[in-house]
Amino acid sequence: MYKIISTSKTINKTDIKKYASASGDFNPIHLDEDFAKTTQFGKCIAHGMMVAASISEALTIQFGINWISKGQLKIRFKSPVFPGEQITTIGESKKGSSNIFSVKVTKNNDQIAITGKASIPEN
Amino acid sequence: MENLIDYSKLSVDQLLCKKSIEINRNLVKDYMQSTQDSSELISDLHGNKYIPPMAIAAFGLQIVIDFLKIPNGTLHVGQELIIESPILIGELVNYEASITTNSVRNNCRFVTIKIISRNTKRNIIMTTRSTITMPEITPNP
Repeated sequence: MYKIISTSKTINKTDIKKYASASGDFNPIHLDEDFAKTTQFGKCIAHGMMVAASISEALTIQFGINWISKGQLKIRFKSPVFPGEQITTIGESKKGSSNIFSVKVTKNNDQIAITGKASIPEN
Repeated sequence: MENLIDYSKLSVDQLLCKKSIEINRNLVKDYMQSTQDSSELISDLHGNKYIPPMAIAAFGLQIVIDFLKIPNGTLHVGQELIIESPILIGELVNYEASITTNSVRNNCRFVTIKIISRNTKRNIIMTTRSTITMPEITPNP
């Protein structure tokens, strides 16, 4: 089985604020603790696309131009990432395939934040 | 934020909006920093750097979120990217968004938005599908 390089990072409030500014997504569920308390999560959560960026990062490190020119990715956001949580992104080839990979982002409590499938063209 | 859009009236294949963004070096730098992206930007043969694909998708999705005045608390539940070709930092990306699904389950509305991104030659560089869910709101008459 072929594994993708894994990456780990801690998501903090400062990065969430920076991501909001960079992307233009100021949904209060990410930024406003008082509002977030009224939601099902009870506190602020990171933007899904911010967490998903770690998958693209790992695919870029592993596959470079092949990923950014013809790659495909399909993911589901399974659970939110809260400020202070560490995320790890990993991937491995699907059985019998050298260019289709299952990918996932897990949290330090072993909960899955994102699962999905990536397809990278072969050279 | 006042919510004036009746999301139940969004129909499949309905064109939502078109917008162009020049994704410049500063935008990419801020994006890379905020996502703690440690990968090297990929270059072409002349050393020009390409935009990270997830950044192209994120900026496109934000256009639609703004256009639809999506209510606070909306959640992103799924994302798909189909990349056709890379695009260099500083180039104009032309986004065109439409609806592909719109349904209600368990008092939540699920909407899938398809965004086609093109370069200035009108060639498709990426197609994305983003599924979001929001509380079902009945607008005031």
